[in-house]
Amino acid sequence: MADRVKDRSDMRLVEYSEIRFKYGLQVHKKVLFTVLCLALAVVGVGVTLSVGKFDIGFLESYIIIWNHLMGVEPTTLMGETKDFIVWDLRLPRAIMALFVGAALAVGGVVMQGVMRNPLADPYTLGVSSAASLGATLCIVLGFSLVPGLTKSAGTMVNAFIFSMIPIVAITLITRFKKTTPTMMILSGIAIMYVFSATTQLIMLYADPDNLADAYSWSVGTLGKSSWENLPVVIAVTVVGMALVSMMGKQLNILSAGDKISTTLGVDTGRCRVLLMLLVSITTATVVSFTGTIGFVGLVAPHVVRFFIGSDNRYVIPASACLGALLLVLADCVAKEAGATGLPVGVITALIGGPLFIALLIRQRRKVWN
Amino acid sequence: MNRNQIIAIAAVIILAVAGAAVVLVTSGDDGPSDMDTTGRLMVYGNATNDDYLDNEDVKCLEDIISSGTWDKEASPLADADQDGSITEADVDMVKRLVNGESMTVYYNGYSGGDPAICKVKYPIVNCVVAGTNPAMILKSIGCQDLVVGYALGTSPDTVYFSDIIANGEAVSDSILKVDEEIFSELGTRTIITQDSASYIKNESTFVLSGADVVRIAASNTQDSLSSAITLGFLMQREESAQAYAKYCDDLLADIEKKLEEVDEKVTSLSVTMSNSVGGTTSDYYDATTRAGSINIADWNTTTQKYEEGAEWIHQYPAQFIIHARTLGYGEIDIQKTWTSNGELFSDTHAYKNGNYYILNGNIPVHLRVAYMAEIFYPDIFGEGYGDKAHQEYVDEFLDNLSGKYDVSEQFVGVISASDVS
Repeated sequence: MADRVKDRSDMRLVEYSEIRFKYGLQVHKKVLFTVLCLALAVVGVGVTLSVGKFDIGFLESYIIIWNHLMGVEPTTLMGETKDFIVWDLRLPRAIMALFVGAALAVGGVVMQGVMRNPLADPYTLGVSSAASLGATLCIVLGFSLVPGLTKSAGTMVNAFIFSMIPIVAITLITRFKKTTPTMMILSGIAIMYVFSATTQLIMLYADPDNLADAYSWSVGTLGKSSWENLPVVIAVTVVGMALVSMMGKQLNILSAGDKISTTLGVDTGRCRVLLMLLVSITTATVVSFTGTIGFVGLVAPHVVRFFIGSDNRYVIPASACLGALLLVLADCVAKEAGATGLPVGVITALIGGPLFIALLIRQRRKVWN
Repeated sequence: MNRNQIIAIAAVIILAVAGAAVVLVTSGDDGPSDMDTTGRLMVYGNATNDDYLDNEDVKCLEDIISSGTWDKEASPLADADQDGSITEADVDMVKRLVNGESMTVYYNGYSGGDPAICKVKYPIVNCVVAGTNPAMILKSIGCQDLVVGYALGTSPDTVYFSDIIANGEAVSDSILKVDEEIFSELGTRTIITQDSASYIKNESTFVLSGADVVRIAASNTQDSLSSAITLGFLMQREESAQAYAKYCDDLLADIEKKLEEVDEKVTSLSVTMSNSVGGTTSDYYDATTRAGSINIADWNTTTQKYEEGAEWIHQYPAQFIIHARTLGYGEIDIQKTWTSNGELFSDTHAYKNGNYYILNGNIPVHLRVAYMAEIFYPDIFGEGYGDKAHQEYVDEFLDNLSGKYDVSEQFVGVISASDVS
């Protein structure tokens, strides 16, 4: 009898260790995927430094960076130009691509989880249309919420402040009325329509010059990246992602539905609003510097789930790395496309869309939920 | 009569004949046949292919008929009625045109942005104008009193266009559009606008109602003069149009002459709107080269957009960047204009070297060339060259500003780094 119990206990131990081993393997697979994406993103940054309309070789780019770090001044006009292009244009742009891609992808994960809707992305609450209105007001009408700024700075500040409006509106609604994710999405869509209509109204009366500028802003570009605006984007993105990562468990529970979440002791309303606020502030910051870059926030989380499943504790960092990689690669194409390059927002949509459809068709198992 | 007397009489006769010949030759300016023959009057029937439609054309047509040969290179505009041959009907039509009789005439214009043979009811007794450049031409050739409606954008230059604004009616908020209903109430049948297809996209609506849309090239040095002369003829203001053409010709000739002193040409790029860098087919490309610079743009499209952070412009390290903006004849916030336009170009070599200039583009294209020439070669053209030529233009051709507007005091033609803090 004792032997039989011992055998059973041994068998359980074996099963347990097998499960642990398998679980460990799965975790390793997830970590490996994340590390791989991160490594590829870093390699992508290395490549993008030598990609652009100005002809600078791969090794030459690194020599320029090395010389710049060592304080070696260029001696010729061409040397000065190359130094400016690599150091002041390409490097901050590449770093910006990393963080913006990560921020948008994490935003997508959170919004999809919180809203329990696979179509949600960081702009679902109307952040992008509100930011567009703010930017258009400054570009077309010269109206800046903070007087005395240059057109470029005014556009940025307007975009940020306006993109906070839908967030504040939805937060207020949730204070007075218990809201469901569906209601939040619908509120976001309603807000989006109001802002879009106002933007279009202004654009109707814009002169061609301003119209082109406003449209160009709305497409989304990394061209405005500079060393001056990088610290803000990096700080907000890192803090936002860290806080969201810390709430990975709660996000998992939220994704299971309000009833289960409440049963498990999660204050769904508070948790949802907190996560949305974090994502929206991060997205608003990013959008004010780059315009609306679409698709990364939608595609990256789905691709990640396809490979590593739906556990948000792993999906969040993996999506951040994949989002960064996608945007860095898309920006390589954007810089080379056309006669003068294209806005990266066009490329993410052009390439991301078909890729996403192909992925959905090839997908055999259900990873959502 | 002795030998000395004969020699004296012969000498007097020779001197008299020579004197008469000199008088005849030098007084040739009074007759159209002795003036320049640059072929800029683009109306069919201009058989002599010069700047005028007169009895010389009638004679030329008669010669073609009698000889039975039509040299199409020498007389490309001879076929007045556009039936493919030169007949008595063409002669009759030109005779009636010379007499100023009403009829439909054919001219070289534009359709869908491309050159085309167009027709218009002659004479144009009044019109609506859409676009700043065509409106400037109309004013320059003294046709402002014939403008009954205007499309000059939401904030037209109220100083330069004060007479057009006072006498006409706004037909839309955009320079590109004319409202059909307002147009129909103005009692005119002609719209004069720019050659680009972006202007008056609903042209077919006006044509269906029997109106004519006359499209002219108004922002190129040569084509704008051709347009001025052609419009002058169509609106029966030949004399003022010819005077304007002569003023522009003289100005360009003077610039060309002064440019002969240039040892080494400077390089340039031109920019219009907020960030459209002119290519080889751009009007501003033409203007910068006429001002004596080597424009280093090598793309064939009209413009290429330069967005913030783009690298391509650094492949064209021009010494000068001329950024043309619509600033007008009124007061300008120089600092704000400089900051809002120059910010984008602040990383270019031209800007860093103090050679980024904002040019007030609300002036005829020939004056733009004068201002640019002064920018490129200040030692040769001297300070105030552009303003001087401009003042002459204001006094000669702008009735509403003549004697009242001091260009050097009131007009901001160029904004440079030295003008701002």
